Amino acid sequence: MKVIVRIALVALFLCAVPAPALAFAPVESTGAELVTAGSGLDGVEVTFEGEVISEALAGGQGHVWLNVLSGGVAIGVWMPEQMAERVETFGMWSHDGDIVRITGVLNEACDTHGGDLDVHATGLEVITSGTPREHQVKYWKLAVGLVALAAAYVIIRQAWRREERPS
Amino acid sequence: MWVTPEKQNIRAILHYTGMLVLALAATMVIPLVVALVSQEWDPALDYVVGVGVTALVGVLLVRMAPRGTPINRRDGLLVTALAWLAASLVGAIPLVLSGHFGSYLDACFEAMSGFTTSGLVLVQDLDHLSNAHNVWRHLTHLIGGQGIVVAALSVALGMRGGGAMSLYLAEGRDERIMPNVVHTARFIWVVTAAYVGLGVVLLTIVDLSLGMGLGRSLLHAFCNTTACWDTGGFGPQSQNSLYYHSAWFETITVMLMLAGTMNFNLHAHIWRGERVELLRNIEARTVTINTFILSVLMGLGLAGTTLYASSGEIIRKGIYHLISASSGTGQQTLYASQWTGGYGGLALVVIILAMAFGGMASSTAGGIKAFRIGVIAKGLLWRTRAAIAPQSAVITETYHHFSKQTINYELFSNALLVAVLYVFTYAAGAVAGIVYGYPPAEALFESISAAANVGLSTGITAPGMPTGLKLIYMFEMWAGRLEFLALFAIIASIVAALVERRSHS
Repeated sequence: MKVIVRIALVALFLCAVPAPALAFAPVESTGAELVTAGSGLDGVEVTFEGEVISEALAGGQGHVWLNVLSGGVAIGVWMPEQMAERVETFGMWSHDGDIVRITGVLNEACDTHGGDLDVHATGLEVITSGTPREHQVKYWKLAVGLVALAAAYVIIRQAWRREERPS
Repeated sequence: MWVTPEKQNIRAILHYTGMLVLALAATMVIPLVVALVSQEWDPALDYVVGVGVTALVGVLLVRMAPRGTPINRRDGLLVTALAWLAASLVGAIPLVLSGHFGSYLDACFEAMSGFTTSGLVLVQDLDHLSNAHNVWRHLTHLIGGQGIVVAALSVALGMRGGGAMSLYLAEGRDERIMPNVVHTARFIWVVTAAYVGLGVVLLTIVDLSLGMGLGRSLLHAFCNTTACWDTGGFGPQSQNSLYYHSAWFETITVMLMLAGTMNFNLHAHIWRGERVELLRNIEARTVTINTFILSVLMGLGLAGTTLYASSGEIIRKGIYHLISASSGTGQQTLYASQWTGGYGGLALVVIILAMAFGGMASSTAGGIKAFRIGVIAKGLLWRTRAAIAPQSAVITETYHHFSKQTINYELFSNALLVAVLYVFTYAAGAVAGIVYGYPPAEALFESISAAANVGLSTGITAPGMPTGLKLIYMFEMWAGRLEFLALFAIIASIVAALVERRSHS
């Protein structure tokens, strides 16, 4: 009986101690930090924000790869297809991609993906939708190019004429 | 005795350099077409400027001398050295207009890296770069990998005489494959077309299977094929080969890297059905022995890091980066920071050695080259045997390089000289990196990567790196690609001209 009471007291005490909540929360990070070898984040659940780039690539087992550009570094994130469907716009020359918050486990050398550094996602939240990028056409370039071409044509024609002229 | 170039020699040198620049202007039409097809209007104008200004520069140089002006061997060396420099200067024009480079110098660095098939990059925000600019970056690999001079010779820019051979040999190519130099240049392009065609088909299939659209699949397949076959190292995405997360992609690109690092003469023998040459050739043997020893050391090094749980991972990562380094390609499935972090130690040393040794001669690979390593090893054996043999004994050492040949002092000393020059360049670049405040191991890695035209990086090469170091790495890439001789010809000519001017005054 005494033993049961002691166990109950210990259990009560443990419940009263504030839970180390932060230890279970994903670690906030950036792409640049995640790829730093020896960051101590291998196997740890991390969360980071970034732009989804290019396209979703087949990842096998009902999963896809999203490549997320965060802090100037792109990281492969492996996730279920359904999760990736929330992403609508991918970053490329014509568009800025959706900005997403990824939560997942970092693998410095993933055993299921040939030793690649990747993140296996457990959550994806779209923060802002992607938008078309503005690329103003600078017409002065057309003028410079055409003038240079015309000048090249005139100069080479003159040079050839001079060569063909009997001396 | 130093021979100072006469005025007419200088005019001839500029004339032929101009012809090569004109050929380059013509190739810029390709990214222009890509831009128009992709509806990338502003990048299209970057190439209108590129074509126009490059053509103008070319024409101004061409008119320095009349067509058909003869050119001697010394001037051929100077044309070749200047052509690479001129190509980088004009090739950078559309790149800097893209807005993805911090300065014109950065764009020149990228162009020099592309033409010399090095693969070190200073492009910013690569993942948002236009299709046209990506195609141009990779075309620089194709043009430079086959040789700017070879590219021009293959369309026979009126250079059919002895001068053509001078230019061809000056580009760091030691052997004639065909009796006629223009035919040799064309053969190089036929082999290239076959491998690039095959690579594009295979990688397009892989990209399509990954879910990429047909247009992007073709674009990526072209970029990655040229980067691997020409042992370049650029990629259309910032993650390089890691972007694809595909074992098939890695397998095909490794095959292309191996094909790219093979001597074109060896390709010719294989094409003629003389496959036994592969087993007997000193270069093929040296590469095989090097790769075997370095693979074992790489395996031990990676196993020691405890990063990888299975031998499969060690083989996949180890072989990919070893072949990438020894072929001078620079494709990678690792992040720069992992080189000195997780991979540090034996694996890092193996990669440094593989980069320094390089691939085969007369290929697109850089570094000291397997032929020279083989000759030096045989030469050492020859001298050792001679030292312990009786004085009256005649000791010979033979090797097979398309025919049975004997090691002699000239061959042995030439191989040693070039190897020493490479090592000196590697060390000088490393010292420069250390002086700029980078750790010694990283500085050595980056310097060898630049001088051996590899392109693997520990992260030193970045837009924010010191300007002086950018210039030093550019010089290393240039010197390494030309294998020093053409560069020495320029320096000697300048020195001779200065000495003569001083003696006159």
